[in-house]
Amino acid sequence: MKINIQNIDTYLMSYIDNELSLAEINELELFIKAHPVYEKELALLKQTVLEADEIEYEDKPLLYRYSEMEATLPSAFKKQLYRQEAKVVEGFFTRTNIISISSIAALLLLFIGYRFYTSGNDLNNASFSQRKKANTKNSTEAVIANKEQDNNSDIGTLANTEQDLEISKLAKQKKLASLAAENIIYTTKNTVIGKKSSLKIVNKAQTVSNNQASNRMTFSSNEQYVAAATISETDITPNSITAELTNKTTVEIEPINNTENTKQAIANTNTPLEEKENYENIDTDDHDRTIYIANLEIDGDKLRGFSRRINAIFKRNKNEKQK
Amino acid sequence: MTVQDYNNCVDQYADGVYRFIVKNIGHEADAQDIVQTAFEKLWINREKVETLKAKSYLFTIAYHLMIDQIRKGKKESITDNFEEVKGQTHPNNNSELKQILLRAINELNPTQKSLVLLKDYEGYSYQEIGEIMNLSESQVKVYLHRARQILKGKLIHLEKMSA
Repeated sequence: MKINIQNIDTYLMSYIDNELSLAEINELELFIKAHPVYEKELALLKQTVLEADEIEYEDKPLLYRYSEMEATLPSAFKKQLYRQEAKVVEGFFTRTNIISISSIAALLLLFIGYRFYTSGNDLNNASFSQRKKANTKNSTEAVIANKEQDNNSDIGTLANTEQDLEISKLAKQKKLASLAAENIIYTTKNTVIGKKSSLKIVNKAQTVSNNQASNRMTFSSNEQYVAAATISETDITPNSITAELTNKTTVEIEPINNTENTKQAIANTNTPLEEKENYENIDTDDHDRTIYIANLEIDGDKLRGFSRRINAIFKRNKNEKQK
Repeated sequence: MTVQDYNNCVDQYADGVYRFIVKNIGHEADAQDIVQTAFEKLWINREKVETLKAKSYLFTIAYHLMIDQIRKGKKESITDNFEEVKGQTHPNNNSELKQILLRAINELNPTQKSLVLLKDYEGYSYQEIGEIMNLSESQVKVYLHRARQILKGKLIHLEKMSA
């Protein structure tokens, strides 16, 4: 590349920047000698070059590094410095825990409610049995009292049997026996209230001696005994007093005035009478019958009435079919 | 790079880097911070940086730190006169011409000023200046020639004024 007037400025700039090769420098010097005008131009450009100032950086000691700075810690010591992330502790009352706890609580409540309900029934049953025992005791006591009274009355009636046998006939006695049965039903209804009055009525009907079939008494007159037997069957059902003890205790009362007829009657009618076991109908309604299902409280009486109604409907259907 | 190599870099290039920055921005404290940061980065990356390229690395880091600081506008007001810059400056006999030239340089833009400083103070080639300033060689040449023309024109003008 030859130096000419068009590119002389570039060569001059490169010359002062020390960017020209040795050959280019020689060529430029030859060109300047041939064109002395560019000597002044070169001198001006050389003035634009800065002379290096001797500026020292005073904080060099701060920049120095030492071999101790390259020292590295042993890996065992580094491991001691390591830190691990702490485990995140989950709260107890999470959604799943709450669901499980609530389900368990609901099951427990149901179980406790069921236990309360069943224990309430057991208590009712226990009270029922206690009441039943008490009633049986009362009934046995009443029966025993009746027995005494009846025995007394029987003594009186047996005394009157001879006179009755003489006065009335056997046919009439049957009628009287039936009448006596009605009266005895009436009297047995009132035995608890007043036994003496009933006994008087029976004496008037002249069949008092036979109304104690439950005591398995034997009497001298056959007809009266038959009547008494019939009475005893009808007597048992409405009366709530007779009990098991009446079956076990058999009191045989022999007539005080042993006439021939009575002896014969006793001899002939020595067959025991069968009695039916009567039980007292005890009111087992529990007025405080409540059913607990969890937090729900249900009135047991309403359910009971409901079940009764259903049973009544079925009974009606049965009766209609039978009809 | 060993510790000794690094310390040699401090001895050889710390003054030049500081001069380059302080002549550019005209603020000593900022220049010192930039120098410290540049050498800190060199220390951190001492195993990656070759010893022969340490100077170029330092100037590159320092130049970009300076540009960032100028862009932030913190210390954009460069001193009008290089003589105001403190330091261990030694007076020159040709002080009058030098002062005229320094005034002219202060009127250049930062890129032109950096080009002139790197070329005149540090003696970098066009290629090296291009690497430091992230410019091509031809760009460095053109920009530097423009700067020289501006300085020449100012010198002519000032000489006429003084005459």
